[in-house]
Amino acid sequence: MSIAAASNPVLDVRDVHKAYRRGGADTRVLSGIDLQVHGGECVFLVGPSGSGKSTLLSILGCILTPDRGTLRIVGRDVGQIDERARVRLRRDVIGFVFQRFQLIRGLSVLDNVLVPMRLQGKPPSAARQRALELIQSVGLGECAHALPQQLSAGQCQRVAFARALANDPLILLADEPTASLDIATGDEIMQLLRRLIQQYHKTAIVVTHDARIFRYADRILRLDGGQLQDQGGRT
Amino acid sequence: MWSVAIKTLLADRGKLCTALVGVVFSIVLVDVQGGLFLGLIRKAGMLVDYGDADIWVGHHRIHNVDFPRDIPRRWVHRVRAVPGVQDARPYMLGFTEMTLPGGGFETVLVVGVDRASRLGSAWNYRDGTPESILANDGIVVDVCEGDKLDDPAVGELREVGRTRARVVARTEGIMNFLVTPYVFTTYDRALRFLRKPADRCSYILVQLAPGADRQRVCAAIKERLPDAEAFERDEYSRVSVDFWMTRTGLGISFGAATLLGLFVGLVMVAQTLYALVLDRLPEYGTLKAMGATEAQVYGLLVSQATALALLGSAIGLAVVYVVQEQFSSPKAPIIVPWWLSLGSCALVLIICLVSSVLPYLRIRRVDPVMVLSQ
Ligand SMILES: Nc1ncnc2c1ncn2[C@@H]1O[C@H](COP(=O)(O)OP(=O)(O)OP(=O)(O)O)[C@@H](O)[C@H]1O
Ligand SMILES: [Mg+2]
Repeated sequence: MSIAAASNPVLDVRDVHKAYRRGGADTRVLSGIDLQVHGGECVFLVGPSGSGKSTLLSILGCILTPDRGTLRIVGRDVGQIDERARVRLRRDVIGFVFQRFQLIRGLSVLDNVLVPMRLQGKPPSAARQRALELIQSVGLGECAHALPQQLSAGQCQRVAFARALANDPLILLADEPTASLDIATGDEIMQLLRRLIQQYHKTAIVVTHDARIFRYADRILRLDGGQLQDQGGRT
Repeated sequence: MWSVAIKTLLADRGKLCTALVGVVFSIVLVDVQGGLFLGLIRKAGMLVDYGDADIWVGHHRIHNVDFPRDIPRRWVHRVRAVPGVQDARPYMLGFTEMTLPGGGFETVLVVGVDRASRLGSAWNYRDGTPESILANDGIVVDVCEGDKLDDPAVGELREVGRTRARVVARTEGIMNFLVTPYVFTTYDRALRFLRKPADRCSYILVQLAPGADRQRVCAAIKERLPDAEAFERDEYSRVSVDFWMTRTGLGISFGAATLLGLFVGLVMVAQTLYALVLDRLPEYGTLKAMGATEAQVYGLLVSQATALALLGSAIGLAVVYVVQEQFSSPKAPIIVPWWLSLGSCALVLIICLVSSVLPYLRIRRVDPVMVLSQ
């Protein structure tokens, strides 16, 4: 497994460029990004504010198209597929976790976790069972029917993890998952993330500012001046 | 996705209620206002609608039931000779004055019906019977015109066209589009009240033989009597209504008032719904980031708009029903036909759909900034 993974990266980014047009002038945000992430890896993306971390994550998540360069996800060239296929890729292969959780108001924990499976068209009873399992595994077994506003920030982020895992994606993308949480809760959430990565054999890219959680990374990459530098990591 | 749509809609109770009030308001406004208008305008053709005659024969180029021009009475025989005609009777209509007990007077529209058939006579009697009209000097008046006619009681003596008349029966709800009350009597007596020669009448009312074709009989009558006009019942009613609609601009002014009110209601719906969706745009962005297709997001928006429109319409129609039951009277009838109810609901549905889909068009593409960095 690890040999196959080493030879075939789950995420393969080659020479990606991205610029935003602002006030008539182009601001270069990414200039020549190369990145390979293998199955089971947990990569942290750090860097100063405005360096383009979220931009890179959006490109990895197929919600933003690079100006130049190629992105391959499990071997498929994202630049070569149409919008419908990209949408399917987002739905089936990628799980997003956001800084502010972005749970849907008015839906219970269970319903929120069910949303991605509903989008996929999974049979209701199977979907429900899987949702309950996931909720259990993020430690919220008691709160399946609670509404997001009745939960603490840490609990909401757990729900977001459960939701991100709902369609059993290969890749988890998390943008500052601990920024809205206090130290202890952030720590808990990262432990949960590591456990989930291991348990479900996921690949994760985590954008963060938070130096206290760097120890959870397999690899830390620093984005600055539009380029990536390897900063080492646990292994 | 229905349950997601409904649950998220219910999460914003305040806005949902505002939007619902807007929908209900719009429905009630259109239906009640429109119903009042229809009730009013329908009076213009009431005599024809309830008159029992299948065909109305009058002077050439006649265009309103209340303003006839005299025709020769002998035409009755020629109309009777037309195949398909079972019966034809003269009918008299004309303006004169009724003296009131206090010494005042009131212009009235005398309706004279044939004694034997009583074709085109009054209906909906409150006192007396249809036969009462045959009594000496008998006239039939309507209780709703009581304030104009000084509340005539049955048995009371009056003068109509300076001729002695006695109230023998009273009806309820036979009212004119004009301000002149109808006074029903027999054809012969009407001639006296109106001081008309005996060889004249205003209309010839026709009853068809079973199975006869209305249009064909009308055409045959016109062929035999080139100076006459022959209308089927429904058509003459419509012609009479159109007379007031087009000649008075009533349709336009009533319509404009309704439209203005409707506009307010719809703006209220549109604005609230627009705000509701705008408020949730980040969530739609999140959904798209999670892999929702365009169709799925539209499905969500459309179900929400439809749910709101359906619920609002149901409440609105219930309110309309109550208003109709409580406030509809012969003087101001509220007539809400099915097409008016359906039309108002369709209108509201369209507005709901447009105003919930419009804001979404702004984020057809997933905006990563909005999704990731809010
Ligand atoms: N849609 C956009 N239009 C124009 N400029 C943008 C847009 N999105 C991002 N930018 C700019 O691109 C640069 C990189 O933004 P990005 O959000 O990727 O940075 P970041 O590293 O995630 O920052 P932070 O740590 O504050 O989240 C910033 O200067 C930002 O202002
Ligand atoms: Mg960012």
